[in-house]
Amino acid sequence: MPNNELSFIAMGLCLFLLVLPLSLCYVAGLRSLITDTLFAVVRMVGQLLLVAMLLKYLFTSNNMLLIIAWILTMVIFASSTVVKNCNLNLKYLFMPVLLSFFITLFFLLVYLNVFVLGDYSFFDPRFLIVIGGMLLGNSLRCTIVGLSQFYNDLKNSHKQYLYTLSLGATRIEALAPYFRTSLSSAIRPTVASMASMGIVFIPGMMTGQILGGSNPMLAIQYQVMIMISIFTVGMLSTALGILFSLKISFTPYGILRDCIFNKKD
Amino acid sequence: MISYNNICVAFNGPSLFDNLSLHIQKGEKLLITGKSGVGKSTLLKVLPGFVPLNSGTVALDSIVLKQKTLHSIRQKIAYVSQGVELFGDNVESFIKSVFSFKANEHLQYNKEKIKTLFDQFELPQVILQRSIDELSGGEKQRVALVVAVMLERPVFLLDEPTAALDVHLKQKVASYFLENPDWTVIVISHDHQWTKNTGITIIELGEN
Repeated sequence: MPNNELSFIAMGLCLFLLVLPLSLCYVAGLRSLITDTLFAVVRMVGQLLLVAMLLKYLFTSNNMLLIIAWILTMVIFASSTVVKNCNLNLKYLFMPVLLSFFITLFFLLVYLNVFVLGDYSFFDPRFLIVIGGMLLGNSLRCTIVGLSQFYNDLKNSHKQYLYTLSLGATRIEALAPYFRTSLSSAIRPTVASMASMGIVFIPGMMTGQILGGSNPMLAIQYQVMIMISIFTVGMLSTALGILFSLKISFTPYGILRDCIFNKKD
Repeated sequence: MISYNNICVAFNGPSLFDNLSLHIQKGEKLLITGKSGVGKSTLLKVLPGFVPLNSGTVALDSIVLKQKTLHSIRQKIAYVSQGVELFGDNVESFIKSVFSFKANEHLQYNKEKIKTLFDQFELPQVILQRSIDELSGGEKQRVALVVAVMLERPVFLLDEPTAALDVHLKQKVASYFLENPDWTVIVISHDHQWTKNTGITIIELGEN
């Protein structure tokens, strides 16, 4: 490994790569995608720079309150992102999603800390923020897919759902097929990525670790840990997100409330 | 047996029903007619609690529909909606899944009975293995009617159950439901085969 640090020129050359896909967008007439991409890249660089500075500060200061505040902000931001992306009403669905993220993240972090990585203290920012962030980011994707699929399927086949209730099904029995489909859709990409890992692609975290100078064996160990955790947290947060939202999303008579969807839909 | 007491239903606008009352005796047959949009289907959906009431009550066997009584009231009603949406991989798996519900545990998945009812409604037995997507509208309606009968419930709410059937089948289905003295049947239909039978009460919604 020649030099682990990337110079500004190297970073600039990396960003220069964007010229290729953006030219393709221009030729294909995807003008709005060019603007969106540029905006996304600027946001990504800005946000990551900010995070790097904050992490550097958190790693050195070890301020417990600040670390907790950081985690809380991540969870709150993740919950509102999920609800907004599912085109659901934040007012009703925010709390169930928030609760599902809190429970699953807390469980996974405690489990990893106590049973898997014994050498980190729980409030070590390298553990709590880095792993917590990675888990939260991935469970966010799963929960968005799962929750959208669950409520959109129900909305689109509401007549069938009512018919199932009329045939004698309890609400849980009538909702079970929708729950199964949404959970499966949410978690299948993670399963596929686990199955193809190492052959089809080398995961980002592992690439980063190896480029950063780590032993590939060590990188693999952490990658396996992360993938199993991502799978677990994705499955649990999606399932709990749906289960916690049921009480709010249905009338006492088991009918889906219209108000849980955003009006523009 | 079935009572609608001063019910009001409104969907973000003018009331569909304003203090509507209706009493149906056990074994009575009622045909609801009326122009499109007057609330015929809504009137049926109110009884199993699929449409909320703004005021008033509905009751079945003197049990008023509430959250607590909901499940027991639904278990007395066989509901076949307009353009019914069956589920499952094929017809047999659909019927079996209906019988797998806890509320239907006391009933047997009886192949003989299915065969008899399929013959009654002129459905070939091979349909049992056919995918739901491959069924025509009329076949879906008849499968739904077969399941409704198999549930052995005393009240039938039928929303345009014969719309997709030919004249001969319309008559057959109408006679089958109207001739059973124990069943209470509320039907919405534009088919005159239902009115041919004497003893059916006709209510035109939208008329005072």
